[in-house]
Amino acid sequence: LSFLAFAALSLGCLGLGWAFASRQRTDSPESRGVLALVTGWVVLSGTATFLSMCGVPWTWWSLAVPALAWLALARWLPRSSGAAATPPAPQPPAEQQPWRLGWGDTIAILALGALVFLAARGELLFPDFVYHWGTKTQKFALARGVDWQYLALPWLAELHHPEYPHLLPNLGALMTLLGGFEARAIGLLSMLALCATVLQLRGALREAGASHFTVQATTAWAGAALALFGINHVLAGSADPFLALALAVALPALLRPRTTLGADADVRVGLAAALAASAKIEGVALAGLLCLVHGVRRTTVDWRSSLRAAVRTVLPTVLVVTPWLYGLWRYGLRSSAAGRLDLGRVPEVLGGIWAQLFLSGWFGMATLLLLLPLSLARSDLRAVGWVVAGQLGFYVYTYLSAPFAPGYYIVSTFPRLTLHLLPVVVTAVALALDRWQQAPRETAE
Amino acid sequence: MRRAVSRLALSALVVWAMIGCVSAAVANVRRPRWNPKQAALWHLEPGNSRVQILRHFLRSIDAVLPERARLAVAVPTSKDDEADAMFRYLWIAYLLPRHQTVPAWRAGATPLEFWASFRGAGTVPATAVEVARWPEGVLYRMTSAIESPAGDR
Repeated sequence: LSFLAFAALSLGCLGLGWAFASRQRTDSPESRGVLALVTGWVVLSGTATFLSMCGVPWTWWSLAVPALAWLALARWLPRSSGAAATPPAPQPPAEQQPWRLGWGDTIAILALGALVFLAARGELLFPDFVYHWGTKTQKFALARGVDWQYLALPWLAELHHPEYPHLLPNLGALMTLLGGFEARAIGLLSMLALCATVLQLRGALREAGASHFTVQATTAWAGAALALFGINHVLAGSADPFLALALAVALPALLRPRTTLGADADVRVGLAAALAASAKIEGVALAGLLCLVHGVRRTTVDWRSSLRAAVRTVLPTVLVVTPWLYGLWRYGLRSSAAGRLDLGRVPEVLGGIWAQLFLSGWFGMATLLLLLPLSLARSDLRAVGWVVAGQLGFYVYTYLSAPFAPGYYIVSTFPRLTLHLLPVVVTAVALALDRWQQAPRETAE
Repeated sequence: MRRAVSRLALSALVVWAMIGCVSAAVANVRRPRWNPKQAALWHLEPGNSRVQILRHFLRSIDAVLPERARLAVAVPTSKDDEADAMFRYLWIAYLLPRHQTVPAWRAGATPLEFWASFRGAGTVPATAVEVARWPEGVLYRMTSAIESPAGDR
């Protein structure tokens, strides 16, 4: 029954999001499908937290009324399109039709299939699911809402991350109310986020005009690499895949030339930022970076329309973050990892990160983060580079300012933080290679 | 030439990831599900025998306790560091979500209604009266507050 609840929740979120995503301009069905799923997750989790802020318990009625209102609103909102200068998407050749599976898709499906199979068997349960996500899930389900009184217990501040955003426990608690608590089924939410990340990277590359080989190779790499890390680092029931997905969802907008950015890009970045901010505390920083970089790109082209663009970009994050921040303020919850910046730790922190690039569960592939300067050097990939560099800088700042020694902190967290960034870095590098190899041909033409 | 270099680089990435993925899957199959050398409770995984015994004990307690009871659960200490007590508490809070589980090391500072003692956990507060007993441990009701922190740290 719990697995049926997972299927019902996922399809329900897809349906909730589809009403909105189907009205957004996207050049690939992969992007549209993933945007629909992300929209559904954000709307459902945001609504659940909002209801708790208002003291309304989660029931069929209390959740159905906002969901129906959302569906009506989604049909009423205007269709979003690209900027006037946006050229129509070229018709892809037969081999690049989105539904046609290539060799890379097959590899990704096999790898992710193995990952999902192991997760469904309960072999990949993430330790933090026991240590806080799973406990919060059960507490929220029992309380039929965000259990602020529980989160505010004095000893939880040092143990349980009571200040973290609630996307995973909210969705898990709703699944629990539907079909009972089953860690394996709730862990599949993280696996679905990993699968959606691979699908979104494929869509982003196709939208960016990458060659068939590059799309297939990157899809194969992403599927195998995320499955590798998901198995090695037992990621079922972790919120980290949602941050990787958030960055992947923003990728099509970050890869587009700034003159072609329109309302569709604002909405896409806005929803990606809202997903990040709903999922983890470091996602709030990622949300800020996404909005900032996108806002700067929009403003430098057309400052007159930037106010409306800013509203479209920032509003989803504001809507999901406000009830969460209200709860933090009302119950006095603060991050246990916040302290004073200590620059004397720089050698230790950089040394620890350097070691983790080689030692972590990435089979050495975390070293591909060192390719980040390549995306900063190319003007067409610079937006991706700035977001990733900014987020990486935030992680380094966290290690430098943590109120405890950074050694074990880096060992236990940096491989997972790499998951947020590595997929888009490698995708950007693959696109750079693709454009580099196509450049002489275009010149000759 | 550029095309060959580009394809070679991307192919190398794919092969690298595939080898890693297969090796991770093989390592997962070979991974011991229960390593007796890792005696600390926080190393235990959901499916292994000690967590199953603890889970069984906590379910027995759950059937006896009133709704949202405030209790501490003492489990045997090991020679691990202080973090071990913290992770033990988190396991118990995860397995006993219907009640307000208080870390045993805060028992002196927080009023308690019940005290549960997993077998081999050692001292029991003097103000505790036995309520129920199972092969895995004993449940006590507190008749008054504990005077000093007891047990698990």
